[in-house]
This record gives sequence, structure tokens and C-alpha cells, in this order.
Amino acid sequence: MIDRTLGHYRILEKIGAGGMGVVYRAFDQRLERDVAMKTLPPGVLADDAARRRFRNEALTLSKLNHPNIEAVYDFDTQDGVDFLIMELIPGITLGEKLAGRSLPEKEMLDLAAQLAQGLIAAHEAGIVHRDLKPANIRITPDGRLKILDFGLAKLLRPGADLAHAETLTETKTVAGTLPYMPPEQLRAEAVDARTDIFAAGIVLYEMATGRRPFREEIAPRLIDAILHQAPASPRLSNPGLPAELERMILKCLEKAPADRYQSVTEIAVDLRRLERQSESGAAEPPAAAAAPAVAAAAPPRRARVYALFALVMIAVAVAAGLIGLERRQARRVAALVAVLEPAAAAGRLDEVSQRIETSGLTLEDLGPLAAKVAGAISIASDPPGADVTATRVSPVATLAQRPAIRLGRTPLAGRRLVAGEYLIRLAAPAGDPLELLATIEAGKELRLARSLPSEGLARVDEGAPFRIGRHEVTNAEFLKFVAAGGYRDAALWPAGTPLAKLVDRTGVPGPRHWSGGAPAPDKGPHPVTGVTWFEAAAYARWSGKDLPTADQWWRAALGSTGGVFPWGRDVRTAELRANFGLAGSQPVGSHPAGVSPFGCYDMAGNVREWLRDPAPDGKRRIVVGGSWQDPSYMFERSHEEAYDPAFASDAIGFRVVK
Amino acid sequence: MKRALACLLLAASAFAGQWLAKPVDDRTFKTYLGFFAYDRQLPLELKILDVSEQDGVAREHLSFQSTPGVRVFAYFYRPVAALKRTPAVILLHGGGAVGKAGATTQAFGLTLARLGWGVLAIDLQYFGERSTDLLSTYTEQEKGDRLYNQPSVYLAWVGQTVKDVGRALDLLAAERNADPGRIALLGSSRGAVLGTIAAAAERRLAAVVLSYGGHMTAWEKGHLPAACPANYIGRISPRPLLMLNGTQDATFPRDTAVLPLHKLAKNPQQTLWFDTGHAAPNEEQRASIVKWLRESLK
Repeated sequence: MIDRTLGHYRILEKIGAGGMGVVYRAFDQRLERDVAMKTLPPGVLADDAARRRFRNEALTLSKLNHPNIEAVYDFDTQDGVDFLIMELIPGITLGEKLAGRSLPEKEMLDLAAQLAQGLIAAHEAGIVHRDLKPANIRITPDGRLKILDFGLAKLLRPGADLAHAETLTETKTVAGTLPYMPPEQLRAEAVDARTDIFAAGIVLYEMATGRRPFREEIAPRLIDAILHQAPASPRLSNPGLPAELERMILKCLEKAPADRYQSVTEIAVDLRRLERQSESGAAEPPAAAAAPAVAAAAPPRRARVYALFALVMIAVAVAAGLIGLERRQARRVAALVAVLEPAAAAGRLDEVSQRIETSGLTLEDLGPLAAKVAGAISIASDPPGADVTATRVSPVATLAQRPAIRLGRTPLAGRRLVAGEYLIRLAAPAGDPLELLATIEAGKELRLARSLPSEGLARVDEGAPFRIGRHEVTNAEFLKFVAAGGYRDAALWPAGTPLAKLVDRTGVPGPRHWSGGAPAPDKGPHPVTGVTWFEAAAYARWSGKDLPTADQWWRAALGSTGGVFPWGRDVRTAELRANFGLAGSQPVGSHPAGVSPFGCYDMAGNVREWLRDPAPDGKRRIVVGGSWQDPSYMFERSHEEAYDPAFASDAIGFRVVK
Repeated sequence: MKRALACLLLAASAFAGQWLAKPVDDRTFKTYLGFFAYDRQLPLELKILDVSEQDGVAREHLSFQSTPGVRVFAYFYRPVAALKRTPAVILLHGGGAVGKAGATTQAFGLTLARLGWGVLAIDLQYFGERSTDLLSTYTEQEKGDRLYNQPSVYLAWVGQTVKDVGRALDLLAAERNADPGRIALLGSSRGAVLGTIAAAAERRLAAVVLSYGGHMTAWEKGHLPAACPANYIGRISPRPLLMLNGTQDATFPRDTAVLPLHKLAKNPQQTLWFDTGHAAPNEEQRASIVKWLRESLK
């Protein structure tokens, strides 16, 4: 191509190549200036319709006339080559400038302001960049920021903002555009200005820390991270970064477009507010306040000069304000650390956790103290993509009042928490949530891998795998069996069932405590009780399941944890973690702090449960788990009891396995 | 005395069931009472740690000195507005780690305080706030290995418990406005086993309720005769005795651990059987107990 002439442009040298085609330095023979020529990959404009669309878009682009946007001069087709003629910008790309390092705050704010101004102008013209990244931002030797390739992503991939799935799985894509794509773009949903705001947030993050927030190397993991994981605090990498600026960056990076800044103008507004909040208490610099008005009223050229001046003023004022904020922040951290250190030394980690929570600061703010009090948790789930929250369990009595901490989505790696016991909840997009208890130790990482429950059954995948009811069968569930004519279907009932005696208080078939063939209206979510082993077995058969064997039940209750209770060895909290309170049964799942290692509720307490197999005498059936009317030690296996299969009580129910 | 002690220890290896067949004679029994003697002049050193109120019932968290250097932690339930000397009940909890703080003692504490009575729920040694290194998981295995199946440790534990009950009686009468002639004992499960012994040894108790107790659990090997309920239950009379048990109880099996013991009890006595396993008394059963106590402490 070198020395060829397309139109009146003579190609001088190749200066770049990428997904958008090859870039040459060319000489505009008519206007006698150097320009950039971008040739489009062959076949991009396959037909006249495509070419018309391209022309229209290019025309719109050429009308963008802004100092922070690379100008489009011309477009044409010659000898079967489609090309764009653009402003030739000296300097280096932002990516080259950063090279893995963060920028000084002042320079960063200056560039951020320029970036914002370019984006505002384009968005006002209805043009979304769609492919903003450091490689598409050029810094001239005199410090001017220019956004390159505006709108080309759409121009060159009309109707397809999301690269095809197979492209996304290629590693080379990871190195290019993918890390800057917001979730809606990855999902091929509609994009708008907020798409650019997300990408700008990543660019800001990179300027602030020298690193991208999502650094996964493998495309599917990267996509998962962008879709589901909260970015790490930028101040982890750059502790000197002002908290307010961090908040702004993270706001750009919100997963849902509605949670981000809604326009780049808002970012500018926040910058000005930051300036007003500065500790100096000085009046608003007039230049900053006047800038937008001047820009709107004055002729474009003068306006640009004013705007530039104003932006520099803003940047200076903001920097000054941020230094003040930073000092205040440092004082807050120091005050908190002073309170936390004695508590941490005395092992009062509940207090440490609570104080951090109410301080508005995070573990990451605390420096070396964090390493002493915190550990990490990593969670994988099958299937992945479950939303994960953690709630500190201790003190158990007030667990329900404590807010859950959102950790992100599975697979989750190395999230830090103050050491202690947590109720971890994995909520999958489909199927049932899984709750389990995890104890984080300071300085250690806990790794968990769990299968998510479905159809009301938890998976026990230690040893021979099976699935077991997450909770005891409820009155509401048992009512379906009754309504389906379960008591009339002889095929469901084991030999020897005294079916005629299995009636409720009104003499119709049903559990002994029911009335009129139904449970009391408010007892639907309670475990069904007043059922014999025969009824438990018939229900299990009707639902295509079975009653648990003793081996299955105990494995589901305790796993291989060596625990005394489903929650472990904390025997003194038994009556808080399980329903042993003498006050009657409770709705199933009322005691999450007593959940078993596989996510089964009320294995201890609430109601005792029938097992499938007979007792050693061959006649009676085993009942396990203890109930609301038992002392807590009745959970223990040594306290298994056996009852006649025709026995029923208000403290015995059952759960099923599959 | 020394000879009696030697007899006792020699008898330790004997089959525990023999005391169910033939309890010890009066002379031997008197030597047992020596185990439970304590110094009544020792200051109680009552300390109130906390007081909370709920719907007209106050619960004092307190501790007192039982034997030299040994403090008993307890909850004392009482009506907020108590005027005169009231009946009182001493509660002995079962084998749960939390001791006096369990649901059963709490239920009785609140219910009986609402009757206008005082209720003292004490922690047994090694349980609740009196826990030591001896027990940590409170599984039956651990309790068996370290306490129930260690004859001399178990006997010492029984002795301490009977003294604790004696001191609880002192405290109730001297410090908590209880009518000394109307103080009952209510033991549940392990508390019923120990309560049988305490009730026979401590004559000041006016009435005794043994809930879901028995001679010993299915997994205990046998105790020294001085720690066997069989040698005590017949000596609760003439004070009224109420016993509640579950027909399906696998902890204290009816035929081996309960019926033989009940056979040794003397009048006035009453036995209530419920079609349950080993459990805490439910509402209906608690109602039977309350009704019986009101009759007995009139």
C-alpha cells in the first residue's frame, strides 16, 4: 500500500493495525497536510446498503468538532478499498503512557476532565463510542487528550455491539476490547451513553491504579467478573487516592446502567461539588462556576479556550480539596484503628466487625490491622453465577437483625472478611438458594465448593451422593398428597398399614392434628406432624422419593465435619440455633444459624424425623433429630429412639431423599 | 466412718442392678449422709449479677458460695411484686451444656413465678456457667467417659450437687423470702437422677418432682452405691413424690431404668406415663406438674 494513492491521499507509512483495519500516515495532496488514513477490512461494507449506512454515520462523525475528539475529515472508496481520513495526532496512546503505572493525581484529574468534555460533546450529538479504552485515547506532547475511533465500533459492526460468543472466548479479545465492556454490552443488550461511562470508569480506574479492575486472563472468567463481581477498591492499589474520587470511579462501574452516572455531565457536576466540599472553605472559583455558561454563550473557539481554562482551574481546586479530604480520611482511619486495636488484641472480633461496618470505612482502609483480623473466602458453585452474601453469625441471638454483606457472584475468589463465623447464602438465578455456615480464620483463605440445591433438595456430594429435603415436609406439601387422593391409593401404602385409623380429628384421612382434612390455616409452612411412619413412607413414594436411611440422614446433618450439631461444636448456642424451645413447631427453615453443612434446615430440633429403616427389633422405626419439646442433647445419635410405625405425635415429622 | 468408706469403694465394682433389687440398709444409708454434710456457717456471699424483668416476672442472675471456694451460679425467678413468704422450687437441669439456661428450666421458672412463687434454677457443677475443662462437647460419649462412668468423679459430683441443693435451701429461706416449709425440688432427666438423691438426703424439701429420670441411662455402666438412686428413692417418703416418664424413652428405658426404680418409691407417690420418648415436659405435662405442686405446697 505504501506510496499508493487513494483519492487525493498518498499513503506514506503504516502506523498501526487492529480490529478496525490498518492505519496509515497519508499526505492530503489537496490541503497539503498529513492525515491518518484508516482502511476498513475488506468485506465490512459488503453491499450498497451497508455502504450507505457507513456514509451516514461517517457524516455524523465528521460533524463532531471538539478538541478532545479525533476529527473525521473524509471517507471514500477507491479500488475496492473503503477508507476514512482522520486527524493525525502526534503523541502516544494512554495505554502506552500508563504502561501499568498510575498517574499523578493532578495529571489524572486533568486528563479525566478532558475525557469528560470529549464524551459530553459526542453524547450530545447522539454518538456513543462503544469501544473506549486506553488504546483509543491519545495524549499529545502538549498534554491534550484525544479520543480516537469514535463511533467506529458501531460503524464497522452494525447491529452487533457484542462480538460473537466465539470471539469472546478468544484470548486476544481479552487483551483488547473485552475488559472495557459493561455488562449490558456483554449481554448484547441496548447500549447508550452509560456504556461509555462504564468504559470511562475503567479508564479512570486504570489511571488511578495502573491496573484494570477486572484482570481475569481467560475470557469466560473475565466476562463472569464483569457481570458479577464488584471491582476491588481502587484505594487497595493506590491508598493515596481520595475517597470521593474512588466513589466516583466505582459509580461509573456499577453493573446496572441505571446505577451509574446517567450522563457524563453529572460526572463534571460531581467534580465541581468535590471542589466545593474542599476543606479550604474558599468560595467557589468564579471561573469554574461560569465555565458552562460561557461555553454555551460564547462563540465556539473562545468557548473552548474558556472551557479549557475553567477545567484547569477545576482540576487545581479539586486537587486542593482532595488533599484536605485525604487528610480527614487519614484521621478517621487513625481514630478507628486506635479503637479497633485493643478490641482485636482481646479477640473481640464481633466488636471489630461491627465498628468497621458502622464507620463507613472498609477492611481495606485499615492497613496492617486488616491482616491481623481478617481472612478470606473463595466460593465455587455448581452451577456458577450464584449471588453470594455473608452475614456474621455471632452473636446468634441478633443474627436476623444484622445486614448481609454482598460478596459478588460465584466463582468468588479471596473476598476478605473479619475472622469469625458467617452465614453464607448463595442465590442462583434459578433453583433454590443454598445457605451454609463458614468460619473464616485470620490470615487464612477458606475455599468452598458446593452444588446448589434444586427442587427443594440439597445435594450431599460427600461419599455416595444423594439429594435430601432442604427442610422437613410441610403441612402445605402434605396437603397436596392428601388432595391428590394419596390416602385412597392403596399402591402407595406399605403392607400392614392400619389405613382406617389414619384420620384427623374430624375422622377424615389426614394427620392426627388436622381438622376437616386440612391443617390449621396458619400452619402451612410448619412441618407436618401427627403422621405415622406409614404416612411418611406413602408420601415419599407418592412424590417419587424415599425416606432417608440413618446413614443418609446423619451424613446430611453432620457431613464429615466432626461436629456435635449440624452447625458444629458450639453446643452452648443450641437453643438459639435450633427449635428446642418448648414453644411448638415453627415454620421450616426458621433457624438458618443451625443449617447443616449441605444446606439442610432443622436437622436438629423443630420436629423429630422418621427414618426409612427398622430398629434392631425389626418392627419399630427409628426417629432422629430431637424436637421442639426436647432438650437439645436429644439431637445426638446416642438419643435415637424407635417407635411403632403406627405411632404419631406432634413432635415427629419427616423429610425425604432422592 | 473409714470402714464404711472402704465398704463403699469395694462395692463399686458390684453390679449396679443389685441396689435396685435390694437397696442399702439404714445403717449404711446414714454413712452416706455424711458425704453430704456441709458447713452451714460458711457465708453465702450472695452476689446479684444482673436483674431482668419480663411481664411481671423478675429474673435475678446470681451466684452464691456453696462449699469453700465453690460458687454456684443460678437464675432466681420471682414475681416483681412479692409481698409475703412464698413457696419456692429448686430446679435441677438435665445434661445440656447450657445448664440452668435451658428451655425447660426457663419455662418452669416463668410459669411458677407467675403463680407468685420463687424459683431457683442452679447450674450443676461442670454445666452452664460452672463449666470446666472436664466437659467441652457435652456429648453422651464425653459425659460418659469423663463423668457418668467415672465412679469416684461421679460420686463427688453427686455429693457436690446435694450440698448445692442444701445451700440453695439456705439461700431461699434466708435471702429470698421463701417459706422454709414449702420448698420443692423439680429435677429433669439428669437433674431427676441427682434430684432423687438430693431429695432423700435433704429433709427440708417439702415435695419432689422427677421428670424423665430413672435409675441410670442405657449407656452408663453403674455407680457407687452412694450415687445410686435406688438407694435413695424409697427414703423420700413421707414427702410427696411425682414421677413423669415417657413410654418410648430410649435414654431411660422403661423396663430396665424406670419401672424397677419406681417400684422402690413409697407413698405418697404418683406416676404419670406419657406416650413419648425422652423429652422435656410439654404443656400438658407441665400443667400436671404445676397442678401437683400447688396441691403439695398448699
